[in-house]
Amino acid sequence: MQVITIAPSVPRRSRHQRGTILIIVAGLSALLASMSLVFLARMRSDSEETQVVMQLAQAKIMLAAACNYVQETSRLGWDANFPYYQGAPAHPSAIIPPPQTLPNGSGVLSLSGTILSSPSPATMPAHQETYGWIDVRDGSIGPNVRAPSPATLPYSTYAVWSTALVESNGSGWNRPAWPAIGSVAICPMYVMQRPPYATQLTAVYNPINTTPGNALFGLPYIQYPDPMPVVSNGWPQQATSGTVTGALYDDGQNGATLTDFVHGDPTPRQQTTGKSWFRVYRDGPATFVITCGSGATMGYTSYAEAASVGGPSAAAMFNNDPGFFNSLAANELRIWYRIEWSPSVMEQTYHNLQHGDVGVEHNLMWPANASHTWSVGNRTQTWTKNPVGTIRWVERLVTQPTYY
Amino acid sequence: MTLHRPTSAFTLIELMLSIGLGSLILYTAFAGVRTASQAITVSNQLSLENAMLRAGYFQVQNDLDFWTSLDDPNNPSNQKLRGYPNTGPTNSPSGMPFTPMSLICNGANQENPPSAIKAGSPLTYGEIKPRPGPYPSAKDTDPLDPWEKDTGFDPTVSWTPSDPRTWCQVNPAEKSSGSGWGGVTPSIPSVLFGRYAIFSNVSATPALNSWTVTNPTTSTSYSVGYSPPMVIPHLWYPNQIQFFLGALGYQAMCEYLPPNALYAYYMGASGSTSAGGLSLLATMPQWGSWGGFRNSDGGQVTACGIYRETYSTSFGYFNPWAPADPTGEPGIFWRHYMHFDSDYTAFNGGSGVQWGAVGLQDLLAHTAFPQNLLPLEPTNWPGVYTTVGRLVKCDHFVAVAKINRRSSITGSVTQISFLGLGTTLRGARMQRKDPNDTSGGSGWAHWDDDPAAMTTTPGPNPGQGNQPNLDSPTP
Repeated sequence: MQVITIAPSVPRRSRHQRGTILIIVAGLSALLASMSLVFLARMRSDSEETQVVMQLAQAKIMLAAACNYVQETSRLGWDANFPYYQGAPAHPSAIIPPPQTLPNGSGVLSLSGTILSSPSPATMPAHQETYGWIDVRDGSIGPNVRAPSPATLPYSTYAVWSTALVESNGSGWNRPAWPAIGSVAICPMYVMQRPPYATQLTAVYNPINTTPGNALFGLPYIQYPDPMPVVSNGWPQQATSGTVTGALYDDGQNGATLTDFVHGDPTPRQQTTGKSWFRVYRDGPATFVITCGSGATMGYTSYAEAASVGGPSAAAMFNNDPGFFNSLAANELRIWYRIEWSPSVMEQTYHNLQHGDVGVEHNLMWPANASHTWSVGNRTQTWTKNPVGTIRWVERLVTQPTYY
Repeated sequence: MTLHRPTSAFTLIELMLSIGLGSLILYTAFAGVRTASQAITVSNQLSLENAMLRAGYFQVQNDLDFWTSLDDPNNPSNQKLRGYPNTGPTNSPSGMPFTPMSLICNGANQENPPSAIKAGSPLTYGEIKPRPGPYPSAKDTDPLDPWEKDTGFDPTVSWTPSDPRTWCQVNPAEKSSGSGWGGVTPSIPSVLFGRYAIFSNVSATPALNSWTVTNPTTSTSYSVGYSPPMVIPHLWYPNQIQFFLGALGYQAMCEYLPPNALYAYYMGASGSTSAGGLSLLATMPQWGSWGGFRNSDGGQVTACGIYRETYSTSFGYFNPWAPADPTGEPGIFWRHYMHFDSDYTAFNGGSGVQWGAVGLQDLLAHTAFPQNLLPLEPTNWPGVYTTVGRLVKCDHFVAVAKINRRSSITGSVTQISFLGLGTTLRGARMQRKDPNDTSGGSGWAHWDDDPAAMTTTPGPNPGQGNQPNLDSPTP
């Protein structure tokens, strides 16, 4: 029997059409895919290259931070009772416990770990201003704290530093504790949960009551402490009850809980870790090698140094794995600078009372930051405060130095 | 029964339809390819623009740290700021910002004794220490103190205020004009508060003057006498000020001297001094070539420091690649010994290269001269120009970094501008090897803090001694 095909050409033509469309769709899809790949590749390479831009920017910001650190620590932050309290801060780092904190009432430690005495005003931290990396009083090596007057001993007698080699980088470099010449300060620049001595941002703790008829209307009674610490210490504020006490003021005396006003809560905020750091090597009386880093090594040169200086807690941050540390180091940017600190600050001649050819000669000089000039003009150097010295010069080091 | 086989050919209508549809499909396919190609091209171009912007950013950051736009130690043709004419504003060998100190710090400008550096080891080239104590007190200053007799620049001594030789002994109220000697205000007798030129002077045996002052009311005359010899106890500070006024340029002087320095000193009386012996270059407005050192802000004729000197006017470092000055204008050397209006006086039209708005524009055009990042780039690439302009204004040293990128697609210009922090001039000079060193050559100076580097023969490699740089004394 003959089979009659009713519409024999239709299937053939349909197959042809499906093939054409398939080719076109496949081609267009390939185009879209290739375009997407190009875009993605470009975006990835742009992103990677921009990451270096960001790293360099962060490292340069670290240079500014390091200069500020050198300036401020020329005169601030040291303990008059060194070495009894070990001259905190040994390293301005949260990963380092407060220096040999005791004492829980049992005593304080010497550098060798010997308990010296019971806590007393003579042995407790006593923060004094110092007189510069080179003492402006006699040119000795600082920082040195105040001395009895009249001073019978060189000011360096009252130094907050020691040449004792108490620190090692884990690879044979033994060095003194910061801030002695030859020492290193390691400064990871994450944001603390609550920095030491943090006060609330409240602008007005004692607003004048503006409600007529109120018993407190119209007068500044100053009922509540101003300012107030961020840590909730039970002080009265804003019509709340409470008592002004020493609670949670300085737990360094009571066990160093790190929840007090003085110590703050230096736990890093998660999103700010692994960004940038700097370290300062004091290579001379007032010269410093600055290492600016953008990466996650927290300022340690090596895993060995982290384990040696930072101890088990620092090693744990790197999973106790030198390889992990090395991979972090390979992806970070490090640049080196050398700077010199100077005690010199602003000169005083921004306005002599009669400095012109006006027929009068006068010795009166408006000093820098003179408040009595504010009412007559803004030429005052109030805006150029630099009470902690200046940086005389900055040199980007062409090559990596041996010690930093 | 006979069945008709279907027609195997297309009809005209079918053919036209198929051609039309095919064309549409082909057009769509080609349009897709073309769009994709254009998209990829634009993507590449935008990516290239971003890459060029990044390259410009790296260039200005590099320049902030290494100053290669002003001086390239590896390219002798780009070392145009190392000249040292014999006469500058102080009529002594003067240089520009990158002139080796060994070329201008010689003869009368050399350390005492010659070639000696005081605090650091001669081989350290970077070790900086304070003068060892104890120091002479102010009341019993030893006129024979060898440290007071030093002149020139010693890169190994830190300028420590505990050292009495760093104290300015100038009377800050003394005016460089007054009666008795070319005074413009006869009612002001010179040295009203005493003759301070005998406390500090650039010369140990200055020739000071005697004259008569007449009270305009009573007509009573007073003799201001002087009888040599007088022992001058302080020589170092005035010599430092005088030296730096003619050493590397005025902004370099502001960088090398500490921020609390007063730019004034006494000399032996001459036509270059006031009656009291104040250097007119240091204290008299507009005294000297090309407007001199002192600006005329407030008509001040007293000692001043960096703030007054940079309040209404500015100093700068001038890019040698900027267009050369026309005949009759100062040229690259004198530009570094000029001040330019940069404040309230810059609102005026001004005349001359340094005054008024013209002066401010000239300052910015020459200090922040934009340079093409890739002069030989293809014409269809985006153009990128970078600059780091360095000047001092109101005692602030600023380095203004700018990156200008011109889009090759739209022609639009994008600018990134920021104030950068990096190497200062003194740091840049210490980066560069002294070409006058006995080992010869130029390039970057090797420096390391390994003690071995300070005790071995200088060389360019790790493990070798630190090399002398542009701030090192005469080899």
